[in-house]
Amino acid sequence: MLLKITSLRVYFKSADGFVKAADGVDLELYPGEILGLVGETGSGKTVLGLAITRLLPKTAAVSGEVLYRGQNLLALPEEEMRKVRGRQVSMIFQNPLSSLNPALSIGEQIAEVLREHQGLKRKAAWQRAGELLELTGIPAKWIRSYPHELSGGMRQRAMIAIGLACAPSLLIADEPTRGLDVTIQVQIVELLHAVTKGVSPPRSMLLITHDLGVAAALTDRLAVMYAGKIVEYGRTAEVFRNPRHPYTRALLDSHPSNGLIATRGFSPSLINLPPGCSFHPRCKKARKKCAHEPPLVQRIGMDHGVRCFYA
Amino acid sequence: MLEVVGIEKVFTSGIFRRRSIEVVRGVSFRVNKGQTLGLVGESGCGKTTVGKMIVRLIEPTAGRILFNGIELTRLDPRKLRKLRPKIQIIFQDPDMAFNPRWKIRDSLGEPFKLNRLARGREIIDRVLELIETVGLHPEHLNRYPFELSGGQLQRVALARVLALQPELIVADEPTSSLDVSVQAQVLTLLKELQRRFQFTCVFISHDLNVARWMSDRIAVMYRGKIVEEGKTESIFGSPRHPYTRALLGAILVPDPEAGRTWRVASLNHVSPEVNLEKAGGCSFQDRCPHAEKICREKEPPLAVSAPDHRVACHRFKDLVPVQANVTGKVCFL
Repeated sequence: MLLKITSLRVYFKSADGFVKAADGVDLELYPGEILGLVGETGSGKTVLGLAITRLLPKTAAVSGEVLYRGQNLLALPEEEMRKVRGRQVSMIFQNPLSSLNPALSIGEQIAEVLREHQGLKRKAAWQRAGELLELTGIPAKWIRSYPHELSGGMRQRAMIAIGLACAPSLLIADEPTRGLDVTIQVQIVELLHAVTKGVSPPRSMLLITHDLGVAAALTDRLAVMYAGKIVEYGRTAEVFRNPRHPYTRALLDSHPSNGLIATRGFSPSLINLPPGCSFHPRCKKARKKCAHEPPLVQRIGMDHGVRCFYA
Repeated sequence: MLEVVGIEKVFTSGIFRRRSIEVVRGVSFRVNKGQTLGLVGESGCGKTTVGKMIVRLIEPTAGRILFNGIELTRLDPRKLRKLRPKIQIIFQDPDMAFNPRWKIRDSLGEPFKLNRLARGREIIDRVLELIETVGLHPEHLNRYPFELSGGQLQRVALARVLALQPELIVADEPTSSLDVSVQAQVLTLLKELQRRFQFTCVFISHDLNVARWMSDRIAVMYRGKIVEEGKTESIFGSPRHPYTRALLGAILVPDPEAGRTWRVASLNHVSPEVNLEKAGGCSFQDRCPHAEKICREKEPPLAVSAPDHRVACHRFKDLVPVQANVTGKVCFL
């Protein structure tokens, strides 16, 4: 197992109480596997990615365990963690336009990573940056371009190039296709496939997305997140064919390819979660019990689990 | 109802060396009363500019826009102001469409005050009615825009537009910044409201799959021109233009078994080296897998390819017909 997360909790303190962004998350990721983490904005997906890389602000209260190759990342001294970041685990952030430095050319931004983490000399780092750009489908002659000169798709490619710079074993991609045109989305999906499944040995990836189409195209296994909790997990094909949690079903039905069927209600605020099952106010199947008792994860098959009483 | 005839927009920039960019090049279409036209294309194709020209936030360089037979493009400012409430637009990013210092209540009351449609207590009643029409709670009225989610804000945007009882709504990518599940809610609401209030709609989107649910007819735009136009069933049943087919092929279906057959690779990358304005010919030639000599020489006109279906392609007759089935799985090219 490459990554094993056990009862991870991330709380933020706010004036109105605790924001429970992740509330007891268990996840496993095997070598060479792509795991999809799907859910709505505000369900805690990004926080989970940031918790793994320990990039959360100091105000976050984190508990639980994040074992990477048997080593608990949460207990690592910052100095050690820096070595893990980039070389072992690297994160491709959401929204390249605000994540890239507008004042540096993309070449410099990639070379910087290589100098910092791999101790490459200036010239060698620059040359490697060019190779990485080519690898991600950006002509190497654009190495001196600035982020604003690139299109959305090209910026995303540059982000991926930075993420790949130190050849990490685990890539965390946070909404890599958000805000892109459909034609460009497909190209990014193909690129992500090429840099994970297409290398030897295959690289693992945690893909954070709200788009089930993207998840279907790329992932081996899927974890569905709602209000800070994993509500269903399983092999991608199995979850799509046989979704057991009412929320997973609702998510599938709302996709334009499946008829754009809306679920009533709004996702709850993470400060003030409904008692019992967080999904019960929106759930068609909810019964009395759901409003009082929080459901635990039930195993319903080989590597398929669901957090629902009536699945 | 709404008729757009050969509108064009040329933007010029630069102080010393004037450069001009043709953003919209001769776009024509009509939308019947109570119907929806989906205007689909990639970012930069000019679809938003067309939308803004319809509501006259941008002046067209040439062409005519007729609304109920009245030529908007020639109307004097006073008459235009009178007509404005009837023609409304919803923008892509709801976060930027509201004054961040105003409570939702104030933003929703504004159109009534501006157009002197109601006063005092009456405004409060109308605002309450509106907020419920779009499926929100009266308590939302006392919040500030940052306290609402994107989906909720887009509902408020819908409510604000409805305040004026518009006859035409231009919806410019109203859900592209929203999650899939929230998108479904907002679009379902928009459709419901259209059924109830019978407004005409121009729905702008980069996603054909979304436009399909909303539109009676679809016009596909590429580099400032309409390249294919027809009834929604017809566009999905027999897409003729290679670009439309590419857009259909780009739909990622939430089905792992279909997922790994993406074939958009067959669409060539845009080559910045080809200067299309100089080159002449079809504007899709550099990306088209079927481009031939004629495509480089002559610009294809928007010609009838089937009853009530128009396509701008020299070679559409030579292409193998394809069927995009309901789930959007396309086998093509």
